[in-house]
This record gives sequence, structure tokens and C-alpha cells, in this order.
Amino acid sequence: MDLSVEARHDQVIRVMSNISNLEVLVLDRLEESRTNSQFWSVQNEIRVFLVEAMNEAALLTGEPEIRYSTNQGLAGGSLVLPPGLNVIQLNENVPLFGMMRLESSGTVKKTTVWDMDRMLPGWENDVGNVPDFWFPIGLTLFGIHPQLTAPVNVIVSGVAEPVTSPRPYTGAEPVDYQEEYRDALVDYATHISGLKEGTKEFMDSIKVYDRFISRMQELSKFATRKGSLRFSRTLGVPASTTPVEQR
Amino acid sequence: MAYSGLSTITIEQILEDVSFTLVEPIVNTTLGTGFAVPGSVAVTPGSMAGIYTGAQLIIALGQVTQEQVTVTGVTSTTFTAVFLNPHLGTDSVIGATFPSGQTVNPLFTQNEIIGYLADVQNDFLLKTRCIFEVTGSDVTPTPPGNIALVVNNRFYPQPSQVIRVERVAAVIPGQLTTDLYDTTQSDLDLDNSDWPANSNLPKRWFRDQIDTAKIGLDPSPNVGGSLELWYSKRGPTGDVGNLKLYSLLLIPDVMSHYIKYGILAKCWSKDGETRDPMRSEYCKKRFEFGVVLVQRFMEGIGLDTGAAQQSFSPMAVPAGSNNG
Repeated sequence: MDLSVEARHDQVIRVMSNISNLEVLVLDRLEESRTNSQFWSVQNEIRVFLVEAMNEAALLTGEPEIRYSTNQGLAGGSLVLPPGLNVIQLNENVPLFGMMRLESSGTVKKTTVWDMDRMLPGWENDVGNVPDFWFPIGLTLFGIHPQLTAPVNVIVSGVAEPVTSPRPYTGAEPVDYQEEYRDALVDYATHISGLKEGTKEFMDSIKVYDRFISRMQELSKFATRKGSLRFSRTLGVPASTTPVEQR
Repeated sequence: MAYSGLSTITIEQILEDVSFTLVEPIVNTTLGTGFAVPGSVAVTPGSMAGIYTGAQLIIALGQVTQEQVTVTGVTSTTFTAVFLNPHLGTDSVIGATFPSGQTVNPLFTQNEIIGYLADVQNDFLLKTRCIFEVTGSDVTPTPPGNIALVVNNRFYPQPSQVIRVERVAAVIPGQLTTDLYDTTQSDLDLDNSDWPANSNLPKRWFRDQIDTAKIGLDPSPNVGGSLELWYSKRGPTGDVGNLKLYSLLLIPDVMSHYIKYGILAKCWSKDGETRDPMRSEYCKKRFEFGVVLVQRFMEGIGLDTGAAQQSFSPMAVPAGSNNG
């Protein structure tokens, strides 16, 4: 391999920050013009495939993990727990599809609704100033104890939707993965682009998808140092929470 | 349909994804003709590509006058539809109409694909049970209200969108709202053979050996009040007219592509010239992979609903067997 070309390619990868940077690499792989793609729509296909790649990566690896706090200065990037409710919905301001941690004036302990029912019957009726327990209810709701008497600002963290802006994608959407894994996203989009061709080329490209999976396995192992291992290549090893999360 | 706040992808966008993969043209033009008085109007759009009698289109996508219309007639340059809102000539006309072969020998129809989508989404929700709702809660936009208790009535219907009731709490005036224990009629029979005659504040609930989509209480309530149900929920069915093209998926965006693969698996496995077993099998496996990923993801973040452990046997269990 021409190392100088490889080095340049690596350099390009390192400065990427949004979908537009990746879409041209997908077009290159498809032997399509970067400026005048004929068989694929950049807006309606290539960018969609790249977002799809990020979504699958998020489910495979549990990345990106995001902490939403008013201190970050994010537009709408905080959660205010309303008073008088036990059940609260995650919304577009806090686009976590895997909520993992809640912090108020101190840590809010994670539990389950079943534990609440067994350990604290009638917990739904309790009222207080700050939350002391929270528990997930599916991927989009969570419960708190006690019901609050006034709104409380909280810091919430978990696995976020990689792209939060609605379609159509402009290309300016950031790619929130470590730069060394972004080439895997290009692999995924290149592979899926071939689905509509449906020829032997597509079947051959399954190896490229396989490469994406391998890279996600690497990322998952890398992420283990931060949290739980959520993916195994064979799908044979149960995922589990770490002792840290169990606490 | 209650939305999670994490779902921004519409039925139309999934249909477009499927269209691109099936190499079906998509309607993406402007109305061409503005009008102030709604009703049956003939308009001259920028392009008639993909527009045929019976096609369903979204007009003025994202505007306050957004609506879905069905084309009632076409010429080479115009189409007619019944509009409920006034529109500008610059309003958008959008639609994944699957025009190949329309209207005599279509490869696919919009209603067919929408039906696939509804089936696939509900299959995904059944296998992952990732979306919940709580009756009487004002958190999600339009959940059903709590179920009113009727004195001495033991059985109550579930809301139509329930996949499985996960928790039941009794809301009785003057009493603390308290969850009821999940039990079975078999256990109640063993415990006290006279239990069906009991009437008091409900303490337990069950769902075995009664009609589909009902739950039962023990004891039967002796006062009024209501039941608060926490349940995993399904999406709308695919009956014609049940899903609008601009409706949102129920599942979060991050897993929406698995719905596309589920639809494509069905498209490529149907009779006709589009049959492609290889690609159908590939898409089926991608859908199944998505189900496993979401199950494992939920398990990984401490949200195991048991959906992954649902056992299945293709053989009916013999009556009277006692294998636990």
C-alpha cells in the first residue's frame, strides 16, 4: 500500500467533524462523482445511510454517552423535573434513548419500579423537594420518587441519539464518534448503498459490513473502560451492567 | 398515537427510504396552482411524475396547512384532489407513491407498504417492549384515561394499544395509590377456593384464563375508583386510513432503520417480478439483528423487560402436561 496515500487519508479522517466530510468518502468508494452523484441521492440516501450507521453504532456500543447540564450552555440541553408527577418523558431537549444517570443536588439513586412497589408501597403518593430515586420505564419514560413540590433542575446522562436534527439532513450534522472509528461509518454506508443494486457486488460487500461490526466490537471493548460491555461479536455473551452501574 | 419525543421520522420518510431501495420514483414537486377555497380542486404541479389516480400525497409539508390528499383524477399535466385547506402554488407536494405499474399492474401500492410498516413496527415493539405508557398520565400526549372501577365487577378491558400490562395500581378516593400484586387465578384457587365471592379493596390482579385483552381483580372492588395501568404499547395497525403519511414512528429514530429492513424483507418475498429471496433474507436478518441489539441494549442499561426471554414453541403444549 502507498503509505503516503494512507497517511493523507488518515489525516483527512482526523479533521472530519460532520456528515459532509464522510459522504464524499462514501461516494469515492462507490465510484460516484463527489459533486454530481447519479445513482444515489446524497441527501436522501448517502446521508441517511451514514446516520443509520451511527444509529447502529450507538446500539452496538452504547456510544455516544452524553451528559446534559445547564452548565454546558446547550440550547435546551437540560431537564427540568416538573412538580406533581411520578412519570416523566424524555424529550428532544434531552435526546437520550438510554438514560443511565440522574443528578440533582446529589446523586439520585437508580432503582426499578418493582423494587419501589415492594420496598415502599404507596410510593406514588409521596411528595418532596428533591428526587431521591429514579427508574427507567421503557426507553422513553422514567419515574421519580417522590413527586416534587416545585420544578427541579437536574443533570441527566446516558446514551444519546447520535443525530438529533430531523430530516432532511444537511450534511452539517456532527459525527459524535471518536475520529479513529469514523471510517467504519463509511464502510457501513458503502455497504448499504449497494442494497438497491442487489447484485453479486452487494453480497460481496457484506464483508465490508463485517468490517464495520468488527470495528464496533473494538469500540465496545474500548468503551468498557468507561462503562459496561454491551456487545459481543457472537451475540452469545449476555450484556451486563457493571458494578458501578449496579450501585 | 403518543410520541416519545425521540421520534422525528415519519411514515412518509420510511416509505421514501424503501422507495429509493426499490428504485421507485418519488413525488417531490410544488402544487403549481394556488387556491383560497378548499374543496375538489384541479392543480397543475411542477411535475406529474409519480402522480396517479389513487396516489396519496402530503401537501404543504411542515406548514400549518399541511394535509394528506388522495388523487381523484389526473391528466398529463394536472391532478384533482379534495383539499381541506387553502394552499399557495409554492406549497410542496411530497409522496412515496410506488408508481411502477400503476394503476393496472402495480408492483406495490402505498397502502400495502403502509400495512407492512405497521406490522413490522408492532412486531419490533412486541419483541423488544421498549415503549411504555401510563394511563391517566399527562406526560405523553394522548394516553387513555385510568380505567373506572365498577363495584363488584371483577373483569376490566385493557386499552387497545396494550401489548402487555406490566403494572396495575388502584386509585381509590381516600386511599393511598398502591400497586396490586400480579398473580394468577390458579394461585388464587389454591390459596382460597372461595375467593371469587370476595368483595373489598382490590389487592391483586391477574390475566390468565380470561378473555383476551382483559385483566381481573381480587377481591372485586366494593368501592368506586380507578385502575392505573403501566404497559408496553403497540403502534397503530395498518388498516387503510389508520396511519397518516405524516404520522411519526412510535419507536425512537435510532432504531427506525430496522423498520425499513422489515418492510423490504416483505417486499422482496412477495410473489411477482420483484421477488428476491437473497435480499429478502438479508433484510430479515438485519431486522432480527436490530431486535437483538435493542433487547441487549435494554439489558445493558438495566432495563430488562424479559422480552428477550419470551419462550416460543412451534408445537402446542399438550393439555394436562405439567412440565413447569
